[in-house]
Amino acid sequence: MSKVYISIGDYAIREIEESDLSQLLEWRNSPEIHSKMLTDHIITWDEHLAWFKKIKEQDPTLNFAFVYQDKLVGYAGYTKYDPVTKTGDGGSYLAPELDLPVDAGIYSGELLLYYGFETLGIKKTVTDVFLDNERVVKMNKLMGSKIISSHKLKKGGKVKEVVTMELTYEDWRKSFYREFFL
Amino acid sequence: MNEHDFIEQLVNLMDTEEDISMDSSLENIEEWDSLSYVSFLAMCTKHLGRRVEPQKVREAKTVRDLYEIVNE
Repeated sequence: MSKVYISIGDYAIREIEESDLSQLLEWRNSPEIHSKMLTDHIITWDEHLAWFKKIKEQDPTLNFAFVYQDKLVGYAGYTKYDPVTKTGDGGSYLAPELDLPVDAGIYSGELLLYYGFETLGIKKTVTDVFLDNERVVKMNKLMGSKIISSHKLKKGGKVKEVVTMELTYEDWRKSFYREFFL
Repeated sequence: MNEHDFIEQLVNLMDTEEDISMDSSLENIEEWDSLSYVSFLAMCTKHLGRRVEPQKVREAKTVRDLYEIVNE
């Protein structure tokens, strides 16, 4: 039985099992998700396995399977976590081909933020997003994030604008969207 | 709010270029996502002055279903 870290309604984040790996890699490398990632690199199976071995040894746990009604439907996790500055860099993605409820994206983000702020005790998340990923930028703002800086990054032979978005514990707590879902 | 005004607001809210009618299926509208969902809930709170149940919006299948939630 996989360890469930947090659940709200039909959604949960649980530990990643070896049996999840091939599906997660397929989603991570899919054109829909790869195009939103900051790196150009297509992850190989060996790299994915090495990542899995590394995250299994992490304490605290930072990477999770996102599940809906106990079925794997995505990933959520912190790629960076600094226990000294109490800062995390988190992200999530959903299975591109599944017909998920319209609120799935909210819960993948909310469960990760809840874990980060209330369990890890982080004070803020800092995340880079391509500026042309407009819907994610808007969604992050709705969740309380603010753009604090921007920079250029080359991807796929093109120079693109990246914004750094920060979400503090205080802004997350008072985000209006949370009143609907918690 | 009449049907015409509602569709206009919904199109602006979703920022979609699709041709939307009252009978449009939400699952066929690419922009009907988490962002549109939360924005719709916020719009209801702002314009109606009351909170609508997220579960009802989540279960809506068509634009008409959303319209009926607003006009309850």
